[in-house]
Amino acid sequence: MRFKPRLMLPVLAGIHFVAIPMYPRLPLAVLFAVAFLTLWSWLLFHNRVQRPGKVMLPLLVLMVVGLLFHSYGTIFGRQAGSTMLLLLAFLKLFETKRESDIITVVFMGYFLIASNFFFSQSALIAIYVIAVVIYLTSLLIIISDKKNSTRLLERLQRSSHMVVLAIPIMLILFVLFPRISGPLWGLPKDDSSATTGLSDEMSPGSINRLITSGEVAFRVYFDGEPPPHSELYWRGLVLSNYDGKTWRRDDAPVYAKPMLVDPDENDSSIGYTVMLEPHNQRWLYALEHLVDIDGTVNVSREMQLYTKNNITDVVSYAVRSDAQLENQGLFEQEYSKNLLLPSGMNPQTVGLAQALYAEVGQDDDAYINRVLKYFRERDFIYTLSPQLLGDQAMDDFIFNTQQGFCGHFSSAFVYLLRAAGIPARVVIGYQGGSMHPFDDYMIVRQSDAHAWTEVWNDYRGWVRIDPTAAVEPRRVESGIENAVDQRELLPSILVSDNALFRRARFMLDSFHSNWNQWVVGFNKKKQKELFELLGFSNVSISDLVLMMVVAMTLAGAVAAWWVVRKDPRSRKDTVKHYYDKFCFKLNKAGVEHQSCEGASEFLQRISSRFPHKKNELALITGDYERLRYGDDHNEQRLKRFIRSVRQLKL
Amino acid sequence: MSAPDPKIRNAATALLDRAASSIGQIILGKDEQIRLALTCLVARGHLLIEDLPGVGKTTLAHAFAQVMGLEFQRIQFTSDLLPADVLGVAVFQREQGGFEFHPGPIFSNFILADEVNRATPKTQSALLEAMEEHQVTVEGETRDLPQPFFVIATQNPIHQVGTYPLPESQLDRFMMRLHLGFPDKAAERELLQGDDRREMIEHVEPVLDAGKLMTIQKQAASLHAADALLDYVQAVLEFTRQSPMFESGLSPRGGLAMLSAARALALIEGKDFVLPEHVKEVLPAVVNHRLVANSDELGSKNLTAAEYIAESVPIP
Repeated sequence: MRFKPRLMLPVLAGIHFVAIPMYPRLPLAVLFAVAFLTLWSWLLFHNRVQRPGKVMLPLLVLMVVGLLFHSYGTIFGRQAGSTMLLLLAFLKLFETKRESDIITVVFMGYFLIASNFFFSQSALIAIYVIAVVIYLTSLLIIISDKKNSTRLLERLQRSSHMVVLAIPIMLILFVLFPRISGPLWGLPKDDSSATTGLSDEMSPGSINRLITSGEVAFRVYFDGEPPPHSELYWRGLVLSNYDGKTWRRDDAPVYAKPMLVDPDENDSSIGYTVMLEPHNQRWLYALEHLVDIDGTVNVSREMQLYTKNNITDVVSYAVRSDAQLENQGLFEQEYSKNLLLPSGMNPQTVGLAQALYAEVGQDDDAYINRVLKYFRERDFIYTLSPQLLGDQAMDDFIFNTQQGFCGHFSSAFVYLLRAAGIPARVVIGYQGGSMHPFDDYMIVRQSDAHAWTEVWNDYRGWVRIDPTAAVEPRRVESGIENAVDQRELLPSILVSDNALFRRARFMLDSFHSNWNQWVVGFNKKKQKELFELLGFSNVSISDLVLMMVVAMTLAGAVAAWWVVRKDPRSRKDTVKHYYDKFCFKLNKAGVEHQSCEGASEFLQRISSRFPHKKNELALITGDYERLRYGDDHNEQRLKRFIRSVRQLKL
Repeated sequence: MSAPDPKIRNAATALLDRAASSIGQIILGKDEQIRLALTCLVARGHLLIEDLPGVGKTTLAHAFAQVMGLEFQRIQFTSDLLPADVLGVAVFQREQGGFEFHPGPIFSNFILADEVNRATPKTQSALLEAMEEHQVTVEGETRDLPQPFFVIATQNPIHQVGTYPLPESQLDRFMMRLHLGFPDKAAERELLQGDDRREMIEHVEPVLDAGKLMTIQKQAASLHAADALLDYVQAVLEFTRQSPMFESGLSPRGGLAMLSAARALALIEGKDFVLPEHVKEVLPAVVNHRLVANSDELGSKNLTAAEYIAESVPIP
């Protein structure tokens, strides 16, 4: 059957609806191609240009493949693959001749819109996907609606109805589908996806950039009371290597266990669950000092937590930490590494270190206090926008600009300590976090990003020292928003005085958190917990599959019963049923019965079309009218009617 | 309701057929309107004919009355016509020492209310109330009108100074509204060649009389309407009430009129049950004057309300 041209613009719009979440990910060249193909197909539908011929179309396909190779270097993988499918969907419009071609395009749309979940599984995307699925389904309704009897709103209503009917099946699949640890399809890694978060190195200014972001880094559910703000040091990475400008991780991590010692043998550990937003890196954040963590997590000797793959979805992990513990692991190699300084740089700083160290009589603890006192007394300024530093960065900072952010203070502090022969290192992570005002979790934002230091003490192991606290104690006691003057640089959620705005933002955050916890975070463990709650323990994958099959069958049966019950045909009497059959036969023969058409009106049309069957048609129509609208209930007539409908051949 | 005797019904159909063709000999080329007017009469409704002067409104009414063998009264409505001129008046009789009622022209079987829109609303409503109730109350005394009782009112649609077009609420009391329109060429030629219509009317033999007509009316009213048919009627009513095209939907009275008219038409066609087609056929005459279109949307589609309904409501 030929397609209806009136369908083409809605289909074109549908492809764009599908593509909207993809736009930000597309390279400029592909965006141009999309715009060009859109314009071309629009002109085509308005008969301004010719349909591309048999030579042109394969050429276009080749050009698309070429473009993809140019942009991505491959046509496979989630990004290149979904982009190719998008462009092919556009090209399919050019060769659309039949309704089945349009159906193909719509089905491609279903796949493409679902492919967005490869990139993000946020609630916003889910809502958008559902909206687009409703729209695409409404396109299928237009295709089947041969009489063009429905309006857009009505179609959307119907397709929403269908989507709502599909919800039970969705829920069954969601709850029962066996979860496999790790991604089911090994998705190729994408470097292009931009996520905010700490990187694995620190140079002046690298943390400041995060401070302006109100984005959530992670959410924490504490089992009991959360520790005070000044104790919330979310350790991320330990940076030991310094090249005079940038701090980096120790590039040869030794997977040796850290050596944790409990000095007083009291259990003062706290338990909490972290829901970490994807940051496209491999490390996790936890409070000092890690006692226990679930899942397969590697713990380095520096107490850094690593996962196997980059974190591209929200992950949730339960942790126990005990701040009383002491990390006393120091290997010889580590000892020397944490004393290294770039040679021949920052002579003034080194001189200052030696002078101060001599001043306190070469006592390590006294020297640390002396350095902190130095920062305090010399009126160092804690600021979000420090001046840029020159080549001799430390000298410039300590003797010239004297203004800096946490990164400046911690790197200067470590520098001064190493110059005096005390092993020290920079730690980056987050400091602080605020309790949700009406939910029971803590939000740690990118703006809580922080850098501090750990200094080796021969008796107590690695001791955390935060030089920023010496300069600006309010930073660790009550958070960044109370510690700096440039409040306008901070994310609005922290500094807004508009109670309504804040409330709305926090409500949204609650929603996100629940979404992450119950939808995105519904993993193998949660699934197991759910079944244990229902009284099934040790549910195996085959049990899940069995349950899924049974539940789907039941849902299918209920749906079938519902549809049959709702279908007016099943309530109609036999007479109507056979008349419908009669109309169906005529429809197949090319004459369609209009729903508003009476039987004798229809008879007039069909008997002129099939003159040789005139009598049969008239007999059927007459019997139908008499049986359905008349007063007599003649069994003979009913039998004759049914027989003649059955025997009718056109 | 007892099942009517099929023999009499066939006789009724034959009589009505003869009546229609008799009238058709006088009013040329208007068979469809005659059929509908007859339907209206059989369905015990009243008829409003809206058309230009001189297209044969009065002649039609006259011919009907003659063929039906009914007592005919014509009331020419004018702006100074009073209700008493229509209904009648009680006059004091000195000899008898009391009032005596002098019935007005409304006390007959068949009334032609000519140019009803020229009378004042007061007089109009006196007529319309009498039509509806089949009785007249004068000086506190209620008097029944003769049976059968049939009113054909005519209205000139062109705006004229000093007229009072019937409001929609009053239009509802007419079962049907018809337009006659100009005759086609052949009919016009025949009309020009033929005899004077008024003379012809006088020579037409009555086909029915009041008693026969009432029997036929009863038969029509008892014609079988199946559930499937009532479903359709209700679907039409529901549609007019839901559709944004109309200011307000059909009244229950409109629904009853539709069903009665369909029954009468089925009887005229010789059917012993009502089909949705019968409803559709009477639809223009029954609903077009009852529904007020909400906007120009119908007009721009070049559809009347009835056509729109017939195209939109599926037959269940």
